[in-house]
Amino acid sequence: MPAPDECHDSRRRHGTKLTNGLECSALQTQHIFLLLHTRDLVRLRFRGAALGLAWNILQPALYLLLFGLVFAVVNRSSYADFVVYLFAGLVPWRFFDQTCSAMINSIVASSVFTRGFRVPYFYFPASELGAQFVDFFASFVTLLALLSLFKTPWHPQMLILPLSVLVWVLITAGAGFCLAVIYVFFRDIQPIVQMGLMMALFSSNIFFKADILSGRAGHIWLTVNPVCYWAALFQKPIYYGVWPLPLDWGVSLASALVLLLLGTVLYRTLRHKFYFYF
Amino acid sequence: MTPALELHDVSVCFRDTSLRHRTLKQALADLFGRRRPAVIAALDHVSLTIGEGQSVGIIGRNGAGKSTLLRVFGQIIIPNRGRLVAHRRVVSLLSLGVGFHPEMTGRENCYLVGTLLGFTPAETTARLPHIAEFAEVTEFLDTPVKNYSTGMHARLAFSLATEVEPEVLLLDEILSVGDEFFQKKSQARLQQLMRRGTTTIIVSHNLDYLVAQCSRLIWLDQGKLVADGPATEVARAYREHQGRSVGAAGA
Repeated sequence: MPAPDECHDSRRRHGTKLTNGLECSALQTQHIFLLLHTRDLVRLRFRGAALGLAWNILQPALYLLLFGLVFAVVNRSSYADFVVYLFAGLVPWRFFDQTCSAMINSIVASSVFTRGFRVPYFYFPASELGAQFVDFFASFVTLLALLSLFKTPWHPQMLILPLSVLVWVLITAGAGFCLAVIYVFFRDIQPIVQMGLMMALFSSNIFFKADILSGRAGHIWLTVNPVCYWAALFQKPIYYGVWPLPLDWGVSLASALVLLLLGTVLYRTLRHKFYFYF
Repeated sequence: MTPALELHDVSVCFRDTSLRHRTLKQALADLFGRRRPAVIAALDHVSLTIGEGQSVGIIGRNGAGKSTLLRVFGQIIIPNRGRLVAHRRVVSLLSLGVGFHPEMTGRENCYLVGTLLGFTPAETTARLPHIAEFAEVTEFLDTPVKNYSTGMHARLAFSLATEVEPEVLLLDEILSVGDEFFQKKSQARLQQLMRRGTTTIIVSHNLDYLVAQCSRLIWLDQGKLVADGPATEVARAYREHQGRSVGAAGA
């Protein structure tokens, strides 16, 4: 009889122990599952569409141009100027919004695999995050193309944008994991989340510039709303041509840390109950 | 007997609220109504050892805990209490509709599920013609699985799971699906695997089939182990018990 292997298994504490190197061999191919599943999710979204993957570019471009037109009128700004301001905040927000909406259902939808095979549940929100990041990348490329189109000056501060992207990905991952776990137990939270996302968007300075607010209350709200600090990581380098402040980084990183920590605690505490709620 | 799987005092419990898809609204109503959710024991202090190369059948009425036990063996359900020790690689073929993404094609699903069964994409590529041929779906491999018939789905799942040549194979009623020709073909492959030493654990309501295929039967009732022994003896005891139960219900 083979001696129990020392390969660490997080499930061991919950009553499962695999011997003879089985855990290690399973993990070797399971990470390929994560990659394949992410790729397939991207493919599935545009399968059957006449323009296929080109929709990855066209969809965000059309979305952003239309919103730009509507809100330039609301903000009484010139179209070209306002579109750049709007895009700078809306591109990362759209990633956050769409990814949260996709991740929320991911663990429940994974039951086609997890009811039949031993596969970590967190792979499925992670796959959704990866698939949505492809869209984010396409939107980001579209944003850069539109900056050229509107002859917007390229600021050296824009070199910080990869770091801004990373912080937004961390915030989104944390929020998405929390929602995915909570949704397993409470299936009626989806409309509440959608409403919350909409309120967060319209109460931030993504759709309007802070200077159109006249009251003191409005300015205080923008100071305490974390979404404004997240948005600043994109708006300041792209539109204002200045570096984001340490406070912007601090609030954004703290948001990411809190959400990721909460998501991890929820996942690790509740994952052994998931099966019974599918 | 060299053990392939060991269960030590395993219990699996869940709350009745999970059966009715709990919502935030229900949770708040339960909280303010002070309703305490009932705890259901799907498995209750079960200890047993499955030896290498054994073919084991699991019997019991609906809700006895058969499928839960199989899923504990497959490391899909994590026990609340006790522990499972797996000495061999387990492959599950648990039920139809599980394991395949309906929107993805048969080919994509084979690559995806192949990784869960331990294949690299290169290994799946090499084995795919044989998998598709055995499942008789070669010309439908690039069709989304949602368009497959029940039989095609079962054939592809069985073909893929047995292509792995598992050390332990878990089967949950799946062999009763498909036409008679495929049932014979799949049973022939299953017997081939058994001859090669694959440990097989089968859940079925077809007692005659289990007695013919398995050397050992495990009888569960309400999550508890009622009997565990040679197939013919346990089957006889189970039939007698069933007869008495039916008689008592009819009286």
